[in-house]
Amino acid sequence: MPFEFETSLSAAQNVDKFYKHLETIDADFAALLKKQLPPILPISDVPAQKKSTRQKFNEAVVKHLDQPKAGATK
Amino acid sequence: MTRYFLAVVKIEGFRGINNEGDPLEIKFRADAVNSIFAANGLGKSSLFEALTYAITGFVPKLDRMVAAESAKDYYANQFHSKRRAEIVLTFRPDDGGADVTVKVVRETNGKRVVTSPSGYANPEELLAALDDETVLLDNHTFTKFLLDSPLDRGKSFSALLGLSKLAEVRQGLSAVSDTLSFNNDSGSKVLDAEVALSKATLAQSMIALKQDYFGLIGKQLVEPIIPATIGSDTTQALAGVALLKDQCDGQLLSAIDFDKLSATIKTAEKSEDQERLSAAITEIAALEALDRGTTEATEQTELKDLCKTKQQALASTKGASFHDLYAAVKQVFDDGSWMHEAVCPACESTPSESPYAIAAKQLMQYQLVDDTETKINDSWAAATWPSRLQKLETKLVKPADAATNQHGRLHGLLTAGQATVLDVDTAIARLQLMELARVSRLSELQTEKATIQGSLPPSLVHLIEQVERAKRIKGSLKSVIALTASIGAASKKLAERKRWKAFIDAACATFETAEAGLSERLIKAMTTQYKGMYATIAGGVPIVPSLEQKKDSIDLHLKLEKFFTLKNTGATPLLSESFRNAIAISIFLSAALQRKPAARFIILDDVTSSFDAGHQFALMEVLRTQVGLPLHKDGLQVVILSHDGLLEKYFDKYGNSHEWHHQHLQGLPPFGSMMMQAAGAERLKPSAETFLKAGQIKQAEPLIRQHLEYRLIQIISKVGIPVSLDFAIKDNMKMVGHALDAIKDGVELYKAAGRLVLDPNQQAALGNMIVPAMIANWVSHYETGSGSSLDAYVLLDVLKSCEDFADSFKYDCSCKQQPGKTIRKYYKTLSSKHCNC
Repeated sequence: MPFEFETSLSAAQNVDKFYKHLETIDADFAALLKKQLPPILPISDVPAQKKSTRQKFNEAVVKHLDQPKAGATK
Repeated sequence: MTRYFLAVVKIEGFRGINNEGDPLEIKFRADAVNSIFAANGLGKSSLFEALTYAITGFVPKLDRMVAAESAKDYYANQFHSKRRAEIVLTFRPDDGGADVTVKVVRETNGKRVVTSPSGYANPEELLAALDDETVLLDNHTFTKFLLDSPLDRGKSFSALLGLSKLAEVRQGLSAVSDTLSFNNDSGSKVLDAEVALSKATLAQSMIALKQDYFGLIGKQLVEPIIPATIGSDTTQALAGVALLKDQCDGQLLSAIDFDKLSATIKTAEKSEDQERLSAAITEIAALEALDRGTTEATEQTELKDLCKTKQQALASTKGASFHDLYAAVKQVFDDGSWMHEAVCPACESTPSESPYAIAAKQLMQYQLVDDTETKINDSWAAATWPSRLQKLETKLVKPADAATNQHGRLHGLLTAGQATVLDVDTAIARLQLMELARVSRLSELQTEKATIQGSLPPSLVHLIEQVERAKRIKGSLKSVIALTASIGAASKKLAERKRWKAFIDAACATFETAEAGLSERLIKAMTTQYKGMYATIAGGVPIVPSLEQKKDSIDLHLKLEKFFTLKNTGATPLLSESFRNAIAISIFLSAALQRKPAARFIILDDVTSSFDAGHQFALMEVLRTQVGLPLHKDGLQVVILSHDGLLEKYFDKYGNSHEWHHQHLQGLPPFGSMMMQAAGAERLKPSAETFLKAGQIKQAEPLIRQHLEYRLIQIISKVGIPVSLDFAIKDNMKMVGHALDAIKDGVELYKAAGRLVLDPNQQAALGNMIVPAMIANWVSHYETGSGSSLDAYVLLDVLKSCEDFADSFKYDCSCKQQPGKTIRKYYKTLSSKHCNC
């Protein structure tokens, strides 16, 4: 069953539904996206600002990816 | 999902509403259409702005002001002693739950504080959920929608469908899932290059390790290797030599001191030749390890081809400034701000090929340059020959001649994106030169080795070779272990990055598909509804509007499916302002019904301005029957804010019925207090008098007309004056002139029959016709549109005359009253009283 937005929900509720759907795929990444994406929205149309915003987002993602995972031995 | 009605709003100190210590309180009915009438300057806009601020956190009008105008100073009422605004909203859940009260305070310092006196856990979140594009609508919203460019209209439409916030998220997802940017930002490219280089170095180390292992142990080393076994085999081999047994037996390879072993052999040999032999063997091994790789030629050809491709692509571009120019040309086409497809927006020429196509083609060349640049760097990082060149130059070129080294030069040029095929060729030629030098040096070393070996006892020569092999095994093994660990760590990081990239790509695709599906479903559901509403508002005129949006484009075009006998025409050139507004209103109302956001109410501020009376009534009928509760069971709580006097008649008709709740805003803004007056037709006269005393004749006129209509119809109804069938059943016949005629005819009829109950004085007053004449005079002026030629004093007299006229049909009744008290009441009919008084 493909993921669908619902007409009866507000935009915010549909976005929330989307994050919940992502949690069923990868809870860790879903939480990372939910934390890091909203602060950079809306994305600027100005290329330099867009690039800078994207860099900040990716830096935060890489920092998370390179962190030792809970339960990892090293 | 729980949705909320607006039950009560209390306002103090906000914009034009002062009400210090006595907040303006307005109660709304959830199960009815709510209308609030306020004349100009009586705080209607402040009420709308207060609701807007409470729900959204800002007032658009103030938000649009430039910083120098200090908009923040104008939120609070200028005459409130604390300059502090407070808005309390009570929301009623539509599932029968308890009311939720949210208090929004704008403190003196401008800070917005949201709390919930009713104890709702997260009032900010509730307000955010209620902040929907369909909740607070004013005329500006509709006008903007119509006058916007197709692109901006498309964005507004998207917002209206609740899609703009989704589009915002989609654009964010799209931006952060961009592959090239992610690879750069996340260091994936660097990691890839590191892994490739480490693998190449590891392969070389493995070759050296296998050669030395075979030379020392006499058997092939099979992968996967086990370092501990290799170490053990090596130490055992050394321990098998009596001279070295004490230092090697039972030791780990890493613990063996090879310098000490060399010293032991040197002592045994007592010769400097052993040391020279050892050095020669070490250098021979190092130079042999730098033999030409099998993939070298292919790697060099690939790098040259890429440099050639890049040079060719670069030659067809015109530099960075032109890149920006082409990008700007494409951008103005993409965003719809340039509509002339054949004309170049930069130079306004008309090239034979589309300017858009030219710009796109040129930009593709620039993209090809960038892509090839990336491939060149990847190719350089993954190739084995650059490392070989670097090592050979380090080993074979004297420090004084280091300036001639080509590895560093080419690397610098590649990093700067300036390397050419010639530069690569120069480096390749240098490598060939280094290869010749390597072979030459190897030959020299082999000769030296043979000479020394000839002068040493064979057993010791062999021993020295074995110790050197063991030493190299130790080094290679250490390198293999380190490189394997490094490749493992980098590969793990790369795998995590790839996993994230796959996740974000899938998330982006999922979101896009879901958003497109939602948009399609909403538009489909809306279409029938807004067309139906439009037909009602437009009054059956054969015009059918349509909204057209091309696939993959946000541009939204307003068209007419049908315009009388024409089909598929533009809407803007053909429709009047009011008909265009009717389309916009229909679209917004149907969107509000389709959406079902958390707010189950819609607040309409002054949305009838462009309509004449007939279309205003039609819109009210749409709101009453197709949008609002209770007639539309799944509908909304409609709140209408209006200053339009013409609508008062409509409000009078439905106001305070089970389906309509009408109120009147009055008071003395911005200094004094404002209050709500439950509306009834009886308030028309005092309201009109208030306007007239303030010299506001224009505002008073419609109220006077309505009051006269109301009062004359009241006389007809109360006294039972016979009227024509048209007058009885048609609303548009219930005008002042017709009502007067009916009353006059009725009086004359009863008088002629000798049955008129009016006393002689009343008959005389009617008989001399002063009052009817005055009224008729005003009516005729009013109907010819020249009512304003009468001044306020004349109109005040008209109001008084009207009351005198009504009084001619009343008598004093003292029965059923306390002794000495009388009431003035209408006759029962023109020929009888209700009692014997």
